[in-house]
Amino acid sequence: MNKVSKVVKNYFKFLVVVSLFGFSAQGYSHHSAAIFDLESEIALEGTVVKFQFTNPHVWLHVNVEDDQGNVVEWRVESISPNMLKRKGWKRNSFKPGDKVSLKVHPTKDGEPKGVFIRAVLPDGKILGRKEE
Amino acid sequence: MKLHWSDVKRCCSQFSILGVSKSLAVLLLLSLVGCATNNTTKPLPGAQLAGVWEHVGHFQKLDTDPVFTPAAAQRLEKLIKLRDAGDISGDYSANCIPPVAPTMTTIGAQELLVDSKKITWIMEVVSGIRWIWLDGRENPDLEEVRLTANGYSTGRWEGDVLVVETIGFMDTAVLYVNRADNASIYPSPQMKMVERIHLEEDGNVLINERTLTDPVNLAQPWVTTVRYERRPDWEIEEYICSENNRTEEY
Repeated sequence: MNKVSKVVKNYFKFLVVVSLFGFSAQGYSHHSAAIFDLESEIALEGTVVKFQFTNPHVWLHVNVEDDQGNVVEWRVESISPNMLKRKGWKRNSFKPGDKVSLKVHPTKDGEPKGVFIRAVLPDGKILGRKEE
Repeated sequence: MKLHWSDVKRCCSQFSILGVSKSLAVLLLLSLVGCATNNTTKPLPGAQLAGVWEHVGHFQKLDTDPVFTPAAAQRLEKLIKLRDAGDISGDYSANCIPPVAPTMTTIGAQELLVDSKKITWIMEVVSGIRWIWLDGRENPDLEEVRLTANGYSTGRWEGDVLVVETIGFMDTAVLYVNRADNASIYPSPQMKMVERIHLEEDGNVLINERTLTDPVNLAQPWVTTVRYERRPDWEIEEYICSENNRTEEY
């Protein structure tokens, strides 16, 4: 089963940048976002490997099965835990073994890495952007 | 400060042992208590600025954009080319060097603490701190001041407006992240910031009208108005950039 479906959409750059820097305005990316394709979104379904609720950016590692049936570890980045905590995130929001559905901005070169947009947790709770 | 009448009587009895009449002792003691109480309840200038604030808006989408000198624009182009070629050596923020105060104060949560000599302005991102001295001192000589990300700030009150002048910015801390290319511009040590800070909406909104001048990088003064909203239910937390910095990811 193909669990990586590429859904490329041309969003207004404004909205894309807003999501990159954290839902509203509070995030600061301390590095360039040039490696990411901020005008694209992809959907991922996978199993959580690890979750680092750390500064300067939160990282979520998820094993995702690709078109050929190979398991690929994706690294998904979000903003500071300081601001995410105020949005309801916790250090254990993602646990190893959790099955999650994600939307991310992918890299331009196809490396399995992305900028977090939203996640649907096993209990149906949504983190990040509420709308699909 | 709470004081019970029983305490006053006991203390006055001790005075009388020393040969002072009880009534005189009562007067002396109440005077001392009155002085102490007055000193502790006198409001500090600017005390109403204290609290946690959130910048409303995005640091890359302020109400105005800077206009760069040709030299600064050339440096920006060079940095973009280097970065696109995979060289991020010119991107100091990737090594967790924080931006300068004009940028840091437009990112996320801020906490202002006020005492009799200064305002301590905590910028949560990268745990930055700036001190605005209100004790009448002058800013140091620009040639002598140590260059820092947040500069050296002194303030004075003009009615209800706090006017702050800041100098001494270091040139490896980001001034502005170009919106179109997400590339960084750095200030020169000659950059100066003047802020005019006041409160609105019953003290729940803080307005900061800022003017930045930099003869090396800015072709004209960069004037911005930054708005903050009070967040009484927020608490500032630690932010260690090097905790999990993944420069190698880029």
